[in-house]
Amino acid sequence: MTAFSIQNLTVVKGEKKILDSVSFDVQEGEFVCIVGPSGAGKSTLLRQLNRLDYGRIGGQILWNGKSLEEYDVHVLREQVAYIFQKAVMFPGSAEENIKMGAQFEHNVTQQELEGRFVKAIREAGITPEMLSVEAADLSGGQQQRVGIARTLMLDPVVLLFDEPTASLDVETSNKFCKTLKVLKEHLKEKKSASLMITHRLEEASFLADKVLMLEEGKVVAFLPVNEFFNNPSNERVANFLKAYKL
Amino acid sequence: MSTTLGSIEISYAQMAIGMVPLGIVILLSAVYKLGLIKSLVIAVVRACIQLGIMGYLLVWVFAQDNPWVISLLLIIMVAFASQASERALKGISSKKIKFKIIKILFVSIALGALSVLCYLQFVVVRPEPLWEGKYIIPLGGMLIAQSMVAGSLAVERLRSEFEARADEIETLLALGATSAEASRESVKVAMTAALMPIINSMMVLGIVALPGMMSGQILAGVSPLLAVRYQLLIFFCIAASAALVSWLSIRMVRSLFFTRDDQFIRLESLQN
Repeated sequence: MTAFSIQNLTVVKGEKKILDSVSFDVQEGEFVCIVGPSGAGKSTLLRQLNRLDYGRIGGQILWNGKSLEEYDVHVLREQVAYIFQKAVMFPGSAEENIKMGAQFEHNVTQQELEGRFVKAIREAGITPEMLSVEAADLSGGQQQRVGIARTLMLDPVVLLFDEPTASLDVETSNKFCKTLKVLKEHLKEKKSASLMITHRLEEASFLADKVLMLEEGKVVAFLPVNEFFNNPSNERVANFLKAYKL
Repeated sequence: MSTTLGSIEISYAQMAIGMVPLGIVILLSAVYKLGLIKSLVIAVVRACIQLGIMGYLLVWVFAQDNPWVISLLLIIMVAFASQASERALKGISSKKIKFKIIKILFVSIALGALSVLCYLQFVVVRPEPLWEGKYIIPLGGMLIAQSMVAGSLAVERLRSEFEARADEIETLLALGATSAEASRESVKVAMTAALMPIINSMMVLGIVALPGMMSGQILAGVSPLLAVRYQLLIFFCIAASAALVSWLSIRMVRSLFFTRDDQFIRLESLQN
């Protein structure tokens, strides 16, 4: 069943067209990686999916068959959750940072929150020793995990990752990708769709079910992962992979 | 020596003698090559002209005791105050946004300072007639000037907080916060920054300095005890007006940075 249906999405900021008639569908349980050169409109696209971004002048986005505008924007953001390039740490311990994830939800019982917390730290790969450490003192990779756990406290239906490994070194990034792989399996079980922007194509090949390539605000290709990397019929994809030496 | 209404008359010759200490500024500027002489001359000439015009204008306004004339003068004072607050426009390059901020300050000062002024004039002081210019204009001047300082401090601090905390705000919005919830910390910092100067001034009132209004009244022959009461009243009202103006301007400036759907607009995007 289709989770997201993006139809002719056009976004303009100032006088610049950031996205130009972008259309594609994401199925339930699917993990889609978005790739493309800088300035292609990847982040704008992702941020449109939970209405964190403005500037849409055309097209529509359907989630579970309903236009995004039909949802309360705050509830939408809790269910279609966003994980940033660099997790912001607030004053306090890692545990406090994680628990603040659900602070704006009002209809959750304490018991339910406790349950979510246990699940979130397990899925984000957070060790018990990390919990009492001041969040600002954690390493970049650990902070990203805390950021993910904080988002998982919302019990989201969809996860949007905006280059979660961009600020990490290669070794930490590889470890982090393994955590994401485990998380992906959990999300698949829940039939949760996920979309992730990445500049590291090996991450896309490791994690994605499908790869969406954007260039100058337009969709260049939307292909199953094997086809994208092994047998791209699209010349621009082939050139992009060549430039990346894959 | 002649006196007017209990105070000593100052002739133009005495005024000229009184300007001699300005020579110290000129001397220091010349010795240290501060380049301030031209600015100083302009400032002195401007101050003389502006205050001279204001003096004659006030004589005329006081003679009228007409609510419309007084209201018009107060509105002009608010307009000048909102225009003159350069601090509020710090870091803003877009003319469109600058104009919006000046408009916000005008509305905030007009609503905040003038409502407190009405309370002070019509409920507390209650002169006869109620619109008596010699009370409402100086009281209004003090409230408007201090509210301008508070309002521009609030706006400047809110802008810089929004710049510094942009990622934090977006993180909170992504967690389902409303714009009010996501900007709560920034608003807190901006409100505190706006109100601290007036609170600090009240702390040292009468110890470090005798405030201008009180000194003026004492010089004019009013009993120091009555002068103290006036001064306290004006300080209380300045605090209320500063709080109101800061709150109003913060609310309005905040709305520039968020869309109706609680999407945060970063300063660089706002200025494009």
